[in-house]
Amino acid sequence: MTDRYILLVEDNPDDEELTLLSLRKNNLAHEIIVVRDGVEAIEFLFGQGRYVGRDLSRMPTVVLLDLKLPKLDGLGVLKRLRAEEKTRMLPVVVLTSSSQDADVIASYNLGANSYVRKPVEFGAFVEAVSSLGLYWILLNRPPPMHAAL
Amino acid sequence: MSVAVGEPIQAPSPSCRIDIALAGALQQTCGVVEAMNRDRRCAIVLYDQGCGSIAAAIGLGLPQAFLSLMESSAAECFSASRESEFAVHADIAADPTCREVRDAALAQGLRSSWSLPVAGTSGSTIAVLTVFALVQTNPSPADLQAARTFATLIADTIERSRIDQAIRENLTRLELAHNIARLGYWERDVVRNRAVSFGRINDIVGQADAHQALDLNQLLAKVVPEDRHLLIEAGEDVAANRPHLREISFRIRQSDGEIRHVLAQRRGIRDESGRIVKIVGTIQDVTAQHRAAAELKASEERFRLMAEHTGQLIVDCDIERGEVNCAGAIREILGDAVGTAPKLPLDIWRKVVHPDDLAMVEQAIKRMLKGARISVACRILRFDGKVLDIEAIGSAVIDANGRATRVIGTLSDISDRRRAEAEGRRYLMQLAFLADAARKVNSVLSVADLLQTITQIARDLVGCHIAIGVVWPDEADRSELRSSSASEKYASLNSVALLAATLDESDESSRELKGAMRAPRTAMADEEASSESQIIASSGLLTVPLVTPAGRANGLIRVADKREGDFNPNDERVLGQLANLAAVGIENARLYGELEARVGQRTQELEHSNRELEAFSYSVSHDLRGPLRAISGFTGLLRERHFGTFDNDSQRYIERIEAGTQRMAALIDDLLELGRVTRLELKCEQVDLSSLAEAIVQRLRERSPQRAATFDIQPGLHVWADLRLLEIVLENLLDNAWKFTAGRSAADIVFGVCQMGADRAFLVRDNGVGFDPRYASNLFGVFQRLHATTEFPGTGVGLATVQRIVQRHGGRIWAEAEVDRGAVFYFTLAEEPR
Repeated sequence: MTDRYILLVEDNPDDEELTLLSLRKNNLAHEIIVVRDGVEAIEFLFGQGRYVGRDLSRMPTVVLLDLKLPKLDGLGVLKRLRAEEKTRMLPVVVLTSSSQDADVIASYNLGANSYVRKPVEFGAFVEAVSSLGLYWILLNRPPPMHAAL
Repeated sequence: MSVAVGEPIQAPSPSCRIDIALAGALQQTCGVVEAMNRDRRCAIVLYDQGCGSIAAAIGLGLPQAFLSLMESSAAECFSASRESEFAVHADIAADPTCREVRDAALAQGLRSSWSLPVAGTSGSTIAVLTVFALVQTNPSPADLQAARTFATLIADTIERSRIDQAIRENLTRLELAHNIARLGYWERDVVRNRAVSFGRINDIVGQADAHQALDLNQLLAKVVPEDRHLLIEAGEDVAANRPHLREISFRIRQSDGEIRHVLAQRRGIRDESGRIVKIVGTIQDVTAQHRAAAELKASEERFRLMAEHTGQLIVDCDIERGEVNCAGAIREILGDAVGTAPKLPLDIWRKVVHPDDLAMVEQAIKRMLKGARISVACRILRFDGKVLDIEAIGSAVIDANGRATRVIGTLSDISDRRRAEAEGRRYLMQLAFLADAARKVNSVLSVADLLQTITQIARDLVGCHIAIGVVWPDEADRSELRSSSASEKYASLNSVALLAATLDESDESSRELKGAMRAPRTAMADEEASSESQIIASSGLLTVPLVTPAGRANGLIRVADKREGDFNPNDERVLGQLANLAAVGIENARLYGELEARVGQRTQELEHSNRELEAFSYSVSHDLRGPLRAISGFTGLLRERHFGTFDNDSQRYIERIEAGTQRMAALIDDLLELGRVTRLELKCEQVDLSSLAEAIVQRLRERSPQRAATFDIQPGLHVWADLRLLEIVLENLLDNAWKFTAGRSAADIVFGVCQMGADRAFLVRDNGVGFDPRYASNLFGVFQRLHATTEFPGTGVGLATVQRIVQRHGGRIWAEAEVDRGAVFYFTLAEEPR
């Protein structure tokens, strides 16, 4: 379990805190890494910029990706991930405010594994995020890392 | 000309009858013979001169029965003497040649006979004298001598009688001739001053007394005054002893006022000394001839005038005489060289008919000579060498033997008709060109394309080698447009050169051209033609301005070098019509171009605003909910961790905050939905509204399974629509019905269809709380609500969304309701697939 973690790409500190709270309720919060824009997400995942030298063998079990992000938006990040061999199969869940058809379609088109709209109501939000965490960390079997490496 | 026939005329006696006077004279001769010797009987058999047969047997002492026998062939024996001098039968009883008359002769006591032929002046036998003796005897020499003497006497008698008869007959014939000819004859013995007249003189002159001789003074009184001098002059001839034949013609006014035309001839007769002793003359009534001649002349004049006025050449071919007489338009059809009244040979047609048409004409003539009426159109070579299109119509007069004796025909100049036919064809063609132009003008073409089309049509329309079109710049400051069309004759010139050569650049006045301008073809010597433009200008030009109905000239069409002849007023007219069409077409094309540009601009603006709306929606979608989530989230945390420590008011505040955020989230979602259905591209298909409604109702029941409700959904309702959007419509309407019937013990909800005028209207009816119909118009506005949120939840956007969807499907939506009595929502959709 210790080698498993979630990468949360989220620029809104409120959403970040609420998400972390929700995950913590299920004891899933101990392995969460948060990056706050698209560029940082890319740098982290590919060991670039401020993440140079990061142990790239440790990849997140799932990426929770917001769409509206500074610098590089979520769809841009997804596109980069799917373009690279290393991250082609990395599970990515789009977690966003938007329920626009265009966003949903674009996300799946670019290879998102799931699309979840953040509920406004607190209870529902907690429910949604915890379910996600439980599913992707505990239930889902990720692709073998060596296959990506 | 008919012969005037007068009153019926008594015919003279036929010569075969015997004259009574002659018969009497011959009877007396017989009586003398019988008186000279009592034993003798005498019969004279008279031959008819003309007929050559026996005319009669005449006697005095012999009974008629015997004389009749003498006339018959039985008495042949008595005529045998025609060849010999005497035929003597000394004993009739014993003579075998007298066998047939023997009994009759013996019954009369006739025992012997001798017959002698009577010869006329010409030597032929005109009668036979037979002397019978009552005793059997031979004639004595005295008998024979007596017979010869009587025969001579008889011959004289017969001859004289016949001369008398001939004279009488001649006189009768003369009278008849006088009557027929209405002729009179007169004589005047100058010496004795006696006059006699014969024939119809009195009738002609109108003199009542037939026996009175014609008196010159009386005659003069009847002659019309103007003609009297003619008679007086004729009388002077006699006085001057001029006996020559003189003929005068004068008019007589009869007592009944009728004018008679008289022809008089007279001649003087001189004696041995040369003095005129007698004047003879004839007077003839020639009124009938005169009238006939006058009528003939008038008739001929009428015919000549008619022939001339028909403009046709009338030919009368006398086949027996072998000549052709012409009348009417001789000069026009045959040319000046032929003369005014030509007599032409019968085969003249072979020289006149154009060689190419000879065979065809020959065939036609053959048919005509067999009796057919023919009509042929052919060309002829006039005597002056000109070629003429004519139509010949003719038919032959066929005699009893089936031979053609005469041919009457007409020849008409049909060059004008031919020209008119060609003109008619050209006119039709021009109409077709103009119709084509009208179609092109009405079709959607750019100004440049239209100008090119019009230029091409202009060239075909007037039949010329060059056409150019110019459209001047208008207020919008477009550049001038030019177009050209040229035949193969000008193939060496490209369009720029052609335009330059045809348009006179220095001629600024063409801009001010109000009507057509025509320049005829001019003869130009080769050395003068130094440039293409000079050549084209000298080939004749026709320019018409393009004038709009508002009177604005927006260009011109110029044509040059007509294929045949010069440009004429007709060309000007049709080109003017084309120009009118073109002017309108160009205006329309410009307007259309402007419209299209405007539409393009609007579309661009719309697209821009759509993109902005998209961006707005995106922003709303992503950003507006974020803060709500924070409010809701942290309020939720507060409730979780500290709810128990809050007093009642604070707990209520927490709940208010949570409800507010939820409502805000719902509003945002509904607004996004409204934006979505507005922008969404319609994907229409057959939609089963009934099953859609069933599915929605199923969901509603599941949401509140405890509620008592009846749903009545009409099955089989299909529409052509966008499935996703129609689902939103039904969802909203049924959801509302479900919502507003919540307080009812049993909800009664109907989905069905009804006919509203021409439209099929779908309806959703409920037995809910209804609404005040005064506010029905507010129903479909955004955020419009007729009930408090606390009473019935809702954002007030749902019906606005429904209306937007219905409108996008070409339909409309409306509602009927009463407070507490339920509501009905109707909506229609366009029937045709859009």
